[in-house]
Amino acid sequence: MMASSMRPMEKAEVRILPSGLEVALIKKQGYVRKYAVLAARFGSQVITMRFAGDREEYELPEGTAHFLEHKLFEQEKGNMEEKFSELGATSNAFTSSDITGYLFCANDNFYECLGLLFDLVYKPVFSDLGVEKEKDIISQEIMMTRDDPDWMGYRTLLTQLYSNHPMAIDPAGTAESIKDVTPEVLYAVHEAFYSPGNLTLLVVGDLNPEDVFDVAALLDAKAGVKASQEVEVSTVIEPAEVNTAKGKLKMDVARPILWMGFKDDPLMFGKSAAKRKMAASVLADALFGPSSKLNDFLYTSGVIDDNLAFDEHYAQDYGYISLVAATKRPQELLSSVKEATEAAAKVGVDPQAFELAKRRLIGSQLRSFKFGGVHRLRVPCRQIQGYGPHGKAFASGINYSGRRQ
Amino acid sequence: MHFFEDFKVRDGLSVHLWPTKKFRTVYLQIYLHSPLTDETATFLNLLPAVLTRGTKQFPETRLLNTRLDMLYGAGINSSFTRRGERGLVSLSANMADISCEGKVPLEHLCDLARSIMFEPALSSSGMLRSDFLSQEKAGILNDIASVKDDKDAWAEYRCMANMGKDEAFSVHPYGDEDLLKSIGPEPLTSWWANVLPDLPADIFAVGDFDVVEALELITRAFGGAIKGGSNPGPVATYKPAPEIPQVVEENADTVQAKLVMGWRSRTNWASPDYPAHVLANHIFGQYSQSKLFMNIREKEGLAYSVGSKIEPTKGLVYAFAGVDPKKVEKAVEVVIREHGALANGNITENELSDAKKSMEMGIRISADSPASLYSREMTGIVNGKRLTIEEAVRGIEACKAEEVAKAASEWKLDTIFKLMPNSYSKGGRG
Repeated sequence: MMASSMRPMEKAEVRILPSGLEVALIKKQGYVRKYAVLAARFGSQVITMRFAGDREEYELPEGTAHFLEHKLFEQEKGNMEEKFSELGATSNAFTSSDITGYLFCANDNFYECLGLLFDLVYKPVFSDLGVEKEKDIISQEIMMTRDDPDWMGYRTLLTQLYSNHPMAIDPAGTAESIKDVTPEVLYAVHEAFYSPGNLTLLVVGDLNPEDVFDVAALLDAKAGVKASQEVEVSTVIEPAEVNTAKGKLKMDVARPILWMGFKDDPLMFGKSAAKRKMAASVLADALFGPSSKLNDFLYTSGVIDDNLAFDEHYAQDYGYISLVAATKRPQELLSSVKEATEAAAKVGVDPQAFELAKRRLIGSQLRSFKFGGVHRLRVPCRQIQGYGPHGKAFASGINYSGRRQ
Repeated sequence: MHFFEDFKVRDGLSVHLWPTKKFRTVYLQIYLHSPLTDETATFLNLLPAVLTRGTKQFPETRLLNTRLDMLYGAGINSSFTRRGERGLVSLSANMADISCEGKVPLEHLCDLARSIMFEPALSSSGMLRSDFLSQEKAGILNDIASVKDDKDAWAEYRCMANMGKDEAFSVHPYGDEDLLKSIGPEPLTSWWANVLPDLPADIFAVGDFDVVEALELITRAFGGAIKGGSNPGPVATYKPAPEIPQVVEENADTVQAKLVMGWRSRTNWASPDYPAHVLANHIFGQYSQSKLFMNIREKEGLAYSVGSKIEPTKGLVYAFAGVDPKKVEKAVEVVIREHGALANGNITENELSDAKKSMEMGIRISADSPASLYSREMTGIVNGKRLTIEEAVRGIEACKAEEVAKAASEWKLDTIFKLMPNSYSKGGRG
């Protein structure tokens, strides 16, 4: 094979401020838009918490993290979206099972917007009236997802994979559960989880690195937020086996859509979830990718009419690969996938498929950013790349975009 | 600034090149212009789907996919899209900016796109392969059936179809189901051999390349094969809205009611008053501080998803909202009220300046995405007026509140479309 040549990959520069805030910058030369995301390591999977030393454990209503995400946009000086708009920027936010992120996209006025972002995340003001009204909006948001077969199928798959792990809970909660959200609940979780040590600021754009780090340090110091009291989030014991192997959801779709999940065991990967994720992505690509034997067989025999869609999802205490396809012949699809995965488990992955998978992944890595340095939070890169002023809510199917459709 | 350098290879074949180090991907995008009818949509949506299944050199789909993987996961996509009442075949090819096998990425992309369009896998009788054809037909029939799965998109399409019953813009880009079913290898091969090469083409390339070299690569790949001599017809026809707007209600298995309302105007991308219309739409419903968003969602709590958009070639404006079925009439009332407010000049200075800033950023950041840029350029090409980003921004900045109000007052409500849950009987209450 002849040599290949490419420019070096882009890297993030990461620094930790004295407050504990992690700041990461990815410089994108020549780009007009500038993004910043301030994200907390707090997501919809936190449903109980206890301040260190306390006996009492608080149960949080399902959907609390997402509710908080909505309400932080209302501040003393008015609606924060409006403030961003006045600066010619757009703002948005998202809640996933393990993080909540607040972001803006600006052309001019980047540093003024950054100031607003710190205000937004650090200075909560909740009122009874505001919280009550938000329940109507979030209820409509939940109703909207009920009409979305992609979202509902994916959520159902998670509840079938996981018996106890709260990552399977719908980030928005239910119309019923959010009734229990009060300003007190929101203040408590904000205090517990929104301290600098639990946050990461990620900036992407054509900006001078020193300016970014200096201004971030200044804003962080000005906010003067202290470390929170230590909080314990109860951990769950999740069995290695799936919750239920098969399930059905009845919705108005033209033909069945089949979701499959392969549950990994965190005991098998311990602390190296990132490495495991990489291995899982090569495996999934080799087994299910467009040039795989399986995909080709299913496509040419008419079982599927679009390439298989698959993804791997990893965090410290869970990991799984998901696969989805629309088909009129779900049984054939299921048995072919089973056959291919079982064969791979027995005799290993085809060496050519393995090499091709690596090539594809090298290509796609080069096209995106390199996240090697950003370790504390799973960086919401897909959100950033997929986000535009009129971007779709469910950019990736993993994150639950809160504010905007 | 002009991002693209334009070259006219001949009548019916133009090339637009943007050499830049900004992206780590190299892009090749081919658009072919055609009239928009049920027949063109059906054939020209099917044809590229069959062509991307295999080439003379890589006659099986798996071989072609393996080739794409060898090129570090190169991507090939085809679709049939539209601008107003102009059909566009779109073929895009892209790959990571990695030179390999002694060729730069653009050369690989030209090789791929040319062989897909003009050197497809053929049967022994010289026809496009019938197995590829029947599989792709089945796939598109499934696509057609699945259009209804996305209820928001379905409601929008149904509003459009009701609004433009006798007009080309009601053609669905997937084409006509019965015609599709009837297509065999002969007519499709004939469209490939006789129609496709004659469609006028615009070819875009973006990436880290030398312009002279790129033009030569593209001309060598497509200069002989693309003749581009056919006439794609008008881009839009005008029809006035009815005196009294039609109200259409349909049912589907939904939880929410999906409301879509459609207006007609006489503007388009090339009109001097287009900036005023597009700004009016922005204030009306295009962004988070818009009248619809602030009133329907934030004040009245009627919907989570709400907004409006303007179609730049035929001058149609749509407003949409996903609402509680019991509150759909209220939502219609608020949408009409807010349109009235806009048309009457009830526009604050803040509304005007925030909308301008939001639009300005939207226009400027299209420079960060090759796909948005060439999509913008195509709108300009189809409408016969190219605008640089600066010109577009200046047009918006110059708009006065009175002009915005006047533009909105020229929108005539044509159709109120409600997609109601099945449990709601037509016209009655559930």
